[in-house]
Amino acid sequence: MIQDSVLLASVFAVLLLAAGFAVLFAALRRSVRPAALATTRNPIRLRPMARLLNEADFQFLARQPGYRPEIARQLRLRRIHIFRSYLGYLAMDFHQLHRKLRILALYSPTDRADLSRLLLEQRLLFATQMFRVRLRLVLFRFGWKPADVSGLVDLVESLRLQVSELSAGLATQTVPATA
Amino acid sequence: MLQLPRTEMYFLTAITLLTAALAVKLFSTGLFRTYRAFTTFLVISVLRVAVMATVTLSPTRYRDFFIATESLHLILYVWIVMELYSLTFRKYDGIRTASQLAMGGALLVSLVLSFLSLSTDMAARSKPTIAILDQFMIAERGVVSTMVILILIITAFLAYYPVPLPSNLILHSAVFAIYFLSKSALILYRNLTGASADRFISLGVMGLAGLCLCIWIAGLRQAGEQTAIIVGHRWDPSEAERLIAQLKGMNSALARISRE
Repeated sequence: MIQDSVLLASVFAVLLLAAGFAVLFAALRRSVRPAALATTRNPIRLRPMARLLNEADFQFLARQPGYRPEIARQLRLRRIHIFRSYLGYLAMDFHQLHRKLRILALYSPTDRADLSRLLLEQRLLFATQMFRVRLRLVLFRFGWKPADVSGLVDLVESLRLQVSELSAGLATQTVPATA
Repeated sequence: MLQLPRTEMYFLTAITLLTAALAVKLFSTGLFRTYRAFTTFLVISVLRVAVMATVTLSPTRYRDFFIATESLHLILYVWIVMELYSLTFRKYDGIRTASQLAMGGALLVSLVLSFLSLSTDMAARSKPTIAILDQFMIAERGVVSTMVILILIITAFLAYYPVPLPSNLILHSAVFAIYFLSKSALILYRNLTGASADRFISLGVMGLAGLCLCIWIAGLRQAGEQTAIIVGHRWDPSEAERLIAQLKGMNSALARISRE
């Protein structure tokens, strides 16, 4: 019985590792494409997202004649939905820009351990902050104060500016590996 | 001289011929200069079978010969994997320290994880004394699992940057991942179920090796050494310092928000 469960756990671990490899090798195949540095879609304006969860709107609504709590609840849900879409774009923009900075770090002629460390640190901080915002968004549904996203929006806009300055004039070229 | 059942003999002959064919391909295409460890591994594998086929060995001597040559294979596995990725990282000065840390860290993490997982194999052997071959199979599972985790972590690092890789290297990594993962699973099964599964495991490993050799023969090409790189960017020191300062500022702002 114990041996069966060990075998089952082992099969699960092997399948998990195989899935991990499949995902990573698919990512590796994508990374060699010249599109890795191509200019992406026009950036979405992210500033309005900070206003979506403004508590003043809900207070204003509550003062209006004919106000019912369901109206505020529906508005809250709709705004959360829109905010989530913005959050998705924010994350997508960050990951694209961060990836371009990593590519630039890769092609630095000298060892940039400091740049690598800062980029990793930034990625972890962004992930932590995104988790925090998503958690607060769940709580906002029940009337809690939402998290401030202006810091994340500023970060993405600064990154966009840096990447556009640094990546001007880049192109891809195929060369033998021994070159 | 080696005495094996007919099926095993056919499998072994086929694998040896495929190994020799792959070694010839590496020499004829000049790829042996890039993949020195892999070529050494192939040559030693062929020589090993040649010795087994010509020299008469008692069962005990055969076991010792198997353990000694298989141990050499395990050392070569580590050399192959480290050589494979060192060659890639050497071309990218910008991430020299990061890649060295990644390789060292990956080796340490994979060693710890795989040797922790060996408790499963140990627990299945309840006898106070374990036969030499069983001990060796447990150690072999540890080394092969280390290779699986090592390749997984280094592949994750390569995908993170993202390092453009020649198609030969992607093929090489993928085949090794399949080979080590399957071999590790087969040895684990053997260690859990006992020596009664030896024949099944032996045929399984040989079949797997044959499949991998076929993929290598078909997939490894001289043209597969070409890689797409990015040109046109000129890093000047002041630009790099400005970027570092700006990133530091952004990270401090992010850290401050997280604390609020």
